[in-house]
Order: sequence, then structure tokens, then C-alpha cells
Amino acid sequence: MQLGAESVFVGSGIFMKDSTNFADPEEAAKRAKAIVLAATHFNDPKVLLEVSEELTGAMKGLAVAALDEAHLLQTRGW
Amino acid sequence: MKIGVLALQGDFDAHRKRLEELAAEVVLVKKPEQLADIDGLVIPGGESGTFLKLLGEAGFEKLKQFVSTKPTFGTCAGAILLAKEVENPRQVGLGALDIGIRRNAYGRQVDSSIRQGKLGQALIEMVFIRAPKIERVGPGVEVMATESGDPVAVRQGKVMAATFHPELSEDTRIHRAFLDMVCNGKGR
Repeated sequence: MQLGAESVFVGSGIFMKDSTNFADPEEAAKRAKAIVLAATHFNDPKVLLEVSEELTGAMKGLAVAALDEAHLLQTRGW
Repeated sequence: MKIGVLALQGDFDAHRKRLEELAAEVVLVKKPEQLADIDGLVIPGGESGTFLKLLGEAGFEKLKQFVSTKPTFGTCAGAILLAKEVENPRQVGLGALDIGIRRNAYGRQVDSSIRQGKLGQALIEMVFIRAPKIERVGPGVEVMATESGDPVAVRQGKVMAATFHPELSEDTRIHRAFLDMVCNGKGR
């Protein structure tokens, strides 16, 4: 957001612990809330600190380079 | 003249650009305390349910107070937030505008479109994105613009709303109308 983006797109990896296993739902919810509030209040260090407390770690995701072209978001839609 | 744009979610940046083009000083509002510093507020397009979640109860109450005293302009999700009755699905509103509004009235994302509507007698480009429809216009509400006969921009006292996105068109007439409203308000 500080680089000037208007918004952040979060993929379904928010629900995952790794590329094949689901994360514990409570943990995923906490992380999702942190992401939303961090994107909203990206310039407020106090909020960033608050939402980062006791998070078990960053969201695991898939490397874009490892995806098939058909699975890339930008190739989908109208 | 300081114009706030509610910047919790949605296309607040597009509004900021339009307002700055018209030489307004813009404040991106993320905290309720900031409402005290501004002369008028724009509530952007986005997702009205998300606005409510991010506002929280305290934020909602502060916003409700603000819109009953200072000029406010809502587009799309902003119009939904300002309305008295919201349907499809039902949702709590700030009740600042005596209208009934139906969410996602044109259909899904794919039913979004850019159309020519009427602002008074003049034609104006209107960008509809998963737009709501104003289904009831209260007695004190003035219809500013229509599209295919439907009211798509309205005004009541210090509150203005549009179901389309003037911030996504080059035309600045509607933003200018809002700034005029804020200017006139200061005179009182």
C-alpha cells in the first residue's frame, strides 16, 4: 500500500497452512483480519503492531512461477 | 475547504484525484477523529457491508452524527450507506437520505455497464458497476440525474448520492455540484 497500490488482492492461500493442508480456521481468521486491517491502516504503526501480535507467521502461498498459465488470475475473466 | 474521503475500502483514491483536479484539499479519512477536521465528506464506491465492518459501532455512530450536520456525497456503496432502507439483502443504513435502495439491482458484475444518462437536461456518462437502484424517493428528495427514467443521482439538504461512479468518468460536473454545496454551506 505504501508503494501506491489502491488495494491488495489475497488469494485462497489465506486458508492454507502449506500448499496442500488447511490452516487451523482460527489462525487463518486472525491472519485474514490482520491483512485487512494492515491494508486499511497501512500508515498507522500502532495498528500494524496491534494486528501483528501473536500471529503464527506470514501467509503461505504458491510461487507464481510455479503456476500453469491457465491458473494465473490475469488470464481469467472476460 | 477540506474534503474528506472515507478511505476504509473502495475507490477512495479515484475520488481523491477528481477532487484534487477541482483544487480541493483532500483528507483520506480512516479514523473517526478525522471527521472533525473536514468541511464535507465523500463516501466512495466499494462494498457497503465491508465499510460497516471496518467502521465498527463507534465509527458508525460518529459517521451518523457527521452526515446529519455536514455535506456528504456517496457513490454506489456510499449511496447505500446513506440510505434509509436497504434491500437485497437488508442492511443497516445511516438514514441520512430518505430513499429506499436495492443492492446489485442490475445483476452481477458482468451486467455492469457504461451508459449515457441525463443530468438535468444535459447528457452525462455514467459508469454502473454492480450498481444499486433507488426504488423509493422520499418527498424531500430532489432527483438530480436519471438513466432510462430511473433516478440515479439525488440530493436532500446537505446529502447527495449517485448510484453510478462519477469518479470513474472524466466529467467533473457532479463533483463540482458537491463542492458548490460545501462552499454554500460554509456561508451559513
